[in-house]
Amino acid sequence: MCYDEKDSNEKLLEDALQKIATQNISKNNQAEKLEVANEAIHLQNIEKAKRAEELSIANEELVFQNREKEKRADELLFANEALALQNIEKEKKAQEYKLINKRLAFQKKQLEDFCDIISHNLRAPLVNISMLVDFIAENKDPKEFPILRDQLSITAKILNEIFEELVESLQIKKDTEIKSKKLNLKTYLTKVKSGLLGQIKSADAKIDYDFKESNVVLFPPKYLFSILHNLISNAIKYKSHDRAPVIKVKTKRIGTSIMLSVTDNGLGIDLQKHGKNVFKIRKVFHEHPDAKGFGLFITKSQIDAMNGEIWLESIPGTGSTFFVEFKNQLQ
Amino acid sequence: MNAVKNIWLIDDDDIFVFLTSRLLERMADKKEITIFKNGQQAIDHFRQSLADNATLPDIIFLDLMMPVLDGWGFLEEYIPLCLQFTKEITLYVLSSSVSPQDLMRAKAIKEVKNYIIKPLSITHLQEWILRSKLRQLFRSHCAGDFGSNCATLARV
Repeated sequence: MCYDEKDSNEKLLEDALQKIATQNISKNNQAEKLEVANEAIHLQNIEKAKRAEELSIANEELVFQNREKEKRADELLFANEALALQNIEKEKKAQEYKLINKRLAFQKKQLEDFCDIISHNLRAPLVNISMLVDFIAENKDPKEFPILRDQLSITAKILNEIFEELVESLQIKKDTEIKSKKLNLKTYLTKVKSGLLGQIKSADAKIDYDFKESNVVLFPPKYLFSILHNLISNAIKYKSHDRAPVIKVKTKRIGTSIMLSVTDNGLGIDLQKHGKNVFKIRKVFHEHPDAKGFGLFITKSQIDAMNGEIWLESIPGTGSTFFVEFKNQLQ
Repeated sequence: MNAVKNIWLIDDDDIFVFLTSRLLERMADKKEITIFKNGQQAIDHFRQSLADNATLPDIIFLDLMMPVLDGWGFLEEYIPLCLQFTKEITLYVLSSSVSPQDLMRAKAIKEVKNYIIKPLSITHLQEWILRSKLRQLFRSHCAGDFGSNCATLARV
């Protein structure tokens, strides 16, 4: 046993030694590898330290930039506020300009009408006067004198009328310059009717009204009277040749507006022919001695001045309805 | 002017028409002056007498501002009618309007010989008689052989 045992022990030892030798070699190898790896890691570490330093610098830079940006943001916020203020100012100004523009457009139209009256209407009687003066100067026939003198006085009267119209059309002011009041339509219709009593009686005209929806309008008193007067006197003036005038005055509420309508059973107007001229100055569509073409012109001017609307529907031979829209009637 | 027999005055201004027709009567004899109070009356008359050269006017004086059918409305209906006339009709606009728009609008219409601003003066008429006389002279010369001279005279 002893020998065998010794033998086998030796063998074991040898094996163990061999194993250790092999392990040593492999460990040496590993150590070498680790050394290489270590070196690599060391290099990487240096790199990383460098990067860290760079990053720290970059970070500082960013912090700085951030601070700058915050500053800028503050500045921009401030500038923005200033701009917003300026914007409000500008909008205010734009609104003002809009108003001024509107007023200028209105005045321009008024000036054009004025020029129209001067160049078309005022000149006609002036021509007649100058001709009459020449005729009177050259006249040798005593029987002619009274004729020429009468014509001169008629012409002077016409000139005077046109002059009055001119003044009236210039007195129309824009809504911002004239005061509106709450006016009772029934009262105004009665006033207008009593002013037209003669015409109403001689034409045997019947005037009905229906102010159930609204009996009050917000409007300048002078204009309301003038509008009602012109529409009703027209309805009588242009009555049918074969029936007595029946006139209906009515109001209707539409949103914030009040619509006034004046319907007659008169001659009517051919709107296809005359539609665009109905409200123009000196435009007359029927043969009537008192037709001057001024009433509807002044009526439209007064309604325009208050931002209202006027229009008509008409069938020749049957009658007309004039519509007036009074705007902004919140009451 | 003596060749002119029919003059139409289309104008609603009674006094102006009265004075102007007096003036026209004074200028020459044997003339017919027909007065229409608006464009519609004149157009109606035209339609009735399209072929009747004795009734048709030689000269028309047309006002612009008139009731029912104004001067512009008249011209609109008159221009197509012109093609049917076998007579030469000379149309003048005779208006009190001094508005340049009216003047330009009238001058753009070839049927309108001229735009006369009221009043119609004796000077106007005399000038116009002179012209028509020259024209007559020119016509009689044309029958001869003064071709080149005629062209210059024609512009008078």
